[in-house]
Amino acid sequence: MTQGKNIMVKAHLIAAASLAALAFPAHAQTVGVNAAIRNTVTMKTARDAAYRPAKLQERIAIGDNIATAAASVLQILLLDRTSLTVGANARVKIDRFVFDPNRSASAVGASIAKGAFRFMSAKPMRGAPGQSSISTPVATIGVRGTIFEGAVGADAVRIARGETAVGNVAANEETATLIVLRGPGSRAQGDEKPGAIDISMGAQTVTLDRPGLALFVPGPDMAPIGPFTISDSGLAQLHALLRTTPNSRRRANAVELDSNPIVDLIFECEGGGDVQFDPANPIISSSSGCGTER
Amino acid sequence: MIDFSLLRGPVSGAFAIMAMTSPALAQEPGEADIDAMLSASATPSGAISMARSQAEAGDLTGAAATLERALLNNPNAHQIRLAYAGLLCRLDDPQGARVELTQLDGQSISDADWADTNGACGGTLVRPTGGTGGASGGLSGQMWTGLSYDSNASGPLAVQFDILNLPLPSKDGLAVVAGMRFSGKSDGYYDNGGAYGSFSLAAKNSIDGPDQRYEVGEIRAGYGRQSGESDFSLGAAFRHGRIFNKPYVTEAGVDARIGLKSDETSRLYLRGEASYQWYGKFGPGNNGNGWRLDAGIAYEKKLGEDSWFAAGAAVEHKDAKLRDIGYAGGRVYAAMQRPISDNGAYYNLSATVRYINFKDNAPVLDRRDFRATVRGALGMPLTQTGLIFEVGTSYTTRQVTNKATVNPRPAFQPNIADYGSFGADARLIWKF
Repeated sequence: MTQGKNIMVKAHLIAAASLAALAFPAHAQTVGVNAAIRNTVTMKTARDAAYRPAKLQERIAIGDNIATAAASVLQILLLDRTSLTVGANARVKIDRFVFDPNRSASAVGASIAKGAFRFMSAKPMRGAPGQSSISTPVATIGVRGTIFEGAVGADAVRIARGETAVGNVAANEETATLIVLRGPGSRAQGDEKPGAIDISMGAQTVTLDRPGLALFVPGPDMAPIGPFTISDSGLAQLHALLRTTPNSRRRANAVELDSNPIVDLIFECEGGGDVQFDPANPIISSSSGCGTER
Repeated sequence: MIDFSLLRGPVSGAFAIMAMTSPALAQEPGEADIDAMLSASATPSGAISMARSQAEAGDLTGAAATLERALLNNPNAHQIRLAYAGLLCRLDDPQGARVELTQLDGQSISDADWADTNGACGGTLVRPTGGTGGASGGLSGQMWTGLSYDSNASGPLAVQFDILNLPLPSKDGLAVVAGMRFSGKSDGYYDNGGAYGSFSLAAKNSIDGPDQRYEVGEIRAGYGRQSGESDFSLGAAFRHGRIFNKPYVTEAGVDARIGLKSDETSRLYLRGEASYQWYGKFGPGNNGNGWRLDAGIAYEKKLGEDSWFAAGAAVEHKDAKLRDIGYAGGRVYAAMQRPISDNGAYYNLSATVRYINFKDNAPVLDRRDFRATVRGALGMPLTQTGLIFEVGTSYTTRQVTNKATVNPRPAFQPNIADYGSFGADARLIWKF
């Protein structure tokens, strides 16, 4: 696509999204699908009076409120195949979404009020870089065709405080935000191009452009900390909120039969159970003393 | 569906999208594709296939999203997790791959799958620790302890005699049960062949009621090789059993096994064992010494992660110095384990039926045993480190046909009584 066409597409998308948002309550437009649900995920759409259990492959529309419980995860697949994974104890809403499949361009705006999240932009979104953003209570993340993840709230504070670069700083347990760029990096293969995110907090903007770089925003009107490279431990804690772990460290699929020596072996002596032993029995020539009862 | 190609300007585009925001009776662009994609990637194999296609098309991010979805639905699918870690490396996120692989510590991963993942990461990864004695080298095992409550607890180990039709004593018993099983294979066992070894011990000791004490230990070691299509092993086996804290039987012999792949998830095994048995004075004594031969066929099928079915049959033959103690027989068994929830809870069912015809058909008695046991259990993981709480219930029986071949029956040959016992047990199991 030429530069001129690219600009025109952006103009289409911005104007279309703006006018559409003004013209209609945006509750009917399907923007994505509940692609995977683990444990307890609830939704409240324009048609619902209260939160109700979300269903697999249920459509998601602009403005739908999504909530996850502890140890719960939802993968939302937007129509352009962008993936937004919502981790435990989260509150999420899609605010805007525009998708032009013919021109392979898309843009999304989402709000993460609380909880862990992971965002992976699809090819169409990479065709309109800078048009998508994820908002948290204290920061807006401008997406430039990339993969990133993070957390909002107490989990963000807990993970960040374990990082040497952050330490035990004062933080708002409701709004603090931790953001980590995951890729693609400069050595990514396939059609992937290096990604980056621009994190805006009021007038200040910080760019993360290398996988593993993180930024912690302790709260409203508080100075961000970073960028710093997140530790393996911190990343593992973040993944624990977003991913699954094997149920146990046991040998997968091992066929382990329960042994019963009474049946599997000739494993018995004679005369037990308060019955007098008969040493003359020729079937099993056993000695006496078997079957003593306590 | 709206044809965006007809758009000629921002305003027309806006109206087009305004039209889209009307009540959406028709599908939006992409909906049908996503539905099809979700259906195609609903199974682990489907997800891997789709991710492979996406990666080959250059869409590594899309492939990673597919595998993330599959892992949400199949947390124990190690092959998916390995493929996912490989994709993270290809997206230039080696740290993410490294952290993901820590989830596989102690899990069974094949050398081939590992080679693919490590290759995608430029050979820089450290293989997850503690292979499991499954396909790959390493050590695995389990230990357990618990309580067992059995009806007619005096019957299992001590044969009772039916004398003058007097009622047999039947007392319930409470016992502690414990055991362990370790299995190890050398590195390279999977592809190039190597040594294997195992050690197991099972014990029961009475707390209240009749004496139920026994211990059975077994050691196996040998050489084997396992590949994707077949496997074989040849080694030595040593077993020792004690009853009431006295030596009962000792066995030493050789065993061999051949496994053939039936399909992607099942294998057929042929196995045989020849061992010599020495009985202690407490048991039949020297009269029981002799060779025991056992040959069987088994079928094992993986139904999913931590889910399997197994069935088998075997024939057996025992020679003894005193011919009457020898026997010929056979047994069939079946067992299965299936998950009942996403958190790793499972149920397990197993049953064994064994028929033994002793060589004592002349001139006095003809003893034939029908032995059977069935057990059902429910297990629940307590931690992510392999600690499991399992409760089970079982029934074990020994039906003895012990007819006299002369009439009247000699008084010194009392009839061996049948035995039946219901049991319940609770175990704490640690698998590693």
